[in-house]
Amino acid sequence: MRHGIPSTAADLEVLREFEPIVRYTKGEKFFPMEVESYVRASSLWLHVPGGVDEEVVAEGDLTMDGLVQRREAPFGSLFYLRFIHPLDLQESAAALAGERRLAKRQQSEFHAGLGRLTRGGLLPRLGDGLFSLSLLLRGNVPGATAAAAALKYAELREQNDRYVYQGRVVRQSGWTICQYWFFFAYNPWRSGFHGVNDHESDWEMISVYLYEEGGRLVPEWVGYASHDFTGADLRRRWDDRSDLELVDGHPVVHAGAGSHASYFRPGEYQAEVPIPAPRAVKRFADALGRFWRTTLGQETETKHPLRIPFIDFARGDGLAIGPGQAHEWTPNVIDETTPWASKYRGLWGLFARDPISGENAPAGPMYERDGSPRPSWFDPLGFAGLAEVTPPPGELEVLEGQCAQLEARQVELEGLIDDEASVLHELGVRLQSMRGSPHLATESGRLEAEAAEEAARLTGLRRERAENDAVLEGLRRRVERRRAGGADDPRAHIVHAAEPVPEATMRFNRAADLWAALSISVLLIGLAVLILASPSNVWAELVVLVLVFVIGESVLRGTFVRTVNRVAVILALIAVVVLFFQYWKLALVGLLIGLAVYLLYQRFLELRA
Amino acid sequence: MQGHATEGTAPKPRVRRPPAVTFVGVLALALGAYHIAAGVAVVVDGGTASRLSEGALDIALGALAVVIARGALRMRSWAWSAFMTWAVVGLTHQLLRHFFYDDPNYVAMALDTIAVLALTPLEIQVAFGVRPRPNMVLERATRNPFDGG
Repeated sequence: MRHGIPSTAADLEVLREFEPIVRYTKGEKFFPMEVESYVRASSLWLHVPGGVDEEVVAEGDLTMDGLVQRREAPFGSLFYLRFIHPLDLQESAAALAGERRLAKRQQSEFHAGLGRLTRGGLLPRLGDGLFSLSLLLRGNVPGATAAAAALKYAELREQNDRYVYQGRVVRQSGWTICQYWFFFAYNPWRSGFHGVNDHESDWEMISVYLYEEGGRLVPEWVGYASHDFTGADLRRRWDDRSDLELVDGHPVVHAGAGSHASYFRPGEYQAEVPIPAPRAVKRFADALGRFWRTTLGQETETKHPLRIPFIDFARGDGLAIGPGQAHEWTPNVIDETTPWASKYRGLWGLFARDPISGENAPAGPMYERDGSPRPSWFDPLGFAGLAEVTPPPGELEVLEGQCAQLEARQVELEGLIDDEASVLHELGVRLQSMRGSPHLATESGRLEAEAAEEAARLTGLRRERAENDAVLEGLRRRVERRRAGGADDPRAHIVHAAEPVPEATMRFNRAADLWAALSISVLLIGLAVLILASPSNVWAELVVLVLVFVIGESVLRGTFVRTVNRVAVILALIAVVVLFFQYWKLALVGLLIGLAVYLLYQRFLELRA
Repeated sequence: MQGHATEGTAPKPRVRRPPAVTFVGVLALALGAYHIAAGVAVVVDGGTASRLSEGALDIALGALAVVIARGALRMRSWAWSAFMTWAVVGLTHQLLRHFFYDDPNYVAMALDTIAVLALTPLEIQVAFGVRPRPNMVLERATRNPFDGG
């Protein structure tokens, strides 16, 4: 029997009963903290579109009351906190050096290992380079901010070394939901772990979904938030041991290094970011993909060629926080009446003016960046795809209710069908008696239309009865299974589960890794040499150079067959176009003759048959 | 001990050669024969060292084509890779000649194109053993992590 807690327990007790154990990756610098010390160490700013950002409250003067104080601001403006003030060159250098010393002192240096760039081909690596360049154009968190944040956070930890979660208990549609919100001073995924983005502050969340039975709250589902994803894929059933690890009844979370995204299993997760492209380009690429897969019958793999392979390192080999671990949680219960959660709608860190928001700080647990309500707060069931799932104790009742309702409808339908059939029979008899009487043509036409209408109605009723039969059969089967105590497959709801990259495919040989690191630069240098050495043939030679790079790399990556096939098909398609334009008359004549011969053959077979 | 080596192992299923492969194999044989004949003719005629080396290269290419054709007809997986590599080199050569040097050999381009299109279908690759039978692999680690990271 699953463990539970009396349903009369206070929210804090319920939260403590199911609080998670979070395992971080070695090298992680930021851990869940209380919000007050962060706010006190930050300044409050106002961003007005088209204007200069204005400091509203200076660092050191900001209090929790000051944060939630109502302030008038024009439409389109945005309040945000700033944990790290702008650094000059000297401060940046000092921060970077200080962070290195801190990492050594804490013995928490991160080693990515080889293989990140090798996991994508030349195009993804080119995309990776372009992504790095895009940070120069997009708004982004300045380079040394992560280092300065790490130092400032370490100082705050010296004053208060508690690991805090913001716990919330909410009751919806028969479920009791425990939400554990984790607040971090900084998200150093890009600067510290070769990830997608950096931003000041970070909010992460996991939920435990409980149902009430026999006066006890029993856990049924666990949902781990991961980046900006929502839906059923995020949740696991409490008894799903293939993914969910429990230690003394506490779910284990493996947090991504820097990103703090939550995963069920330890490992390295490949997070691929498609490079944004105009809709027309995407449509063209999709059409090409369909042609490749359907017309040419090639592999069904649907990876976007222009993607950047980022890795979320959720190794779980670093600090562990939770019951029975070296570090325990300090809970802080929150709800809609918690002022900092409900009254402050601004960002919890720097607004970096990044148009795609990756580098802008998040808002609080109740709000999105634009100040609108956050779905995971107001609709925690929908967030994990549980809106249509009935708590187990109530399911049988709902099922039986549905059965009774459908059975009643079937009885009603039987009567309606009989009535409708009788009406149609009468109409049919009347119609038949009118045949051969030209003076009744008008009346016969009217009756025919009426009969057609009645027949359609009868067909609809019969269809409904047949469909109801099928639904009833399923409902009855489920009722029987429920009565017998049978459970569903715990993973039936999962469409795409986040899987760590298997060890076997994660590491390539050193030559491939070295090549991955150097190839784009070598290619660019090669192009430069060609422009200088052989300017007249540079395009032709560039084509050869790229082909040599692509095929050479495929040998190192063990994908020679796939690559040579792709290259050959692309070249063949270009050749087909060239040949068609060169010999279009001949091609047309050949096509017509071929068509004629084929049709003649078909007719010949028909005549012989 | 007779038969010991095969004891307990299922006989390898005989793969029927698709007509497209026979076609490509015969094409390669013809190509090889053509190259060898042309090379022999050049060597027999004699001439400068450069001319002789051209003839020797033709003979070597012809021999290679014959070896590949034999492998293709016997459904060897290396023959598929070799033929495709040959086609990639040939098509690149002819397309570059077409686009940049105005000196293309359209017959060679057409032959290489036919060979590629004949060897490309998935069932041909499966028959050669260079590709496993297609099956569904649900592979998605995480989706776009841009936001909220």
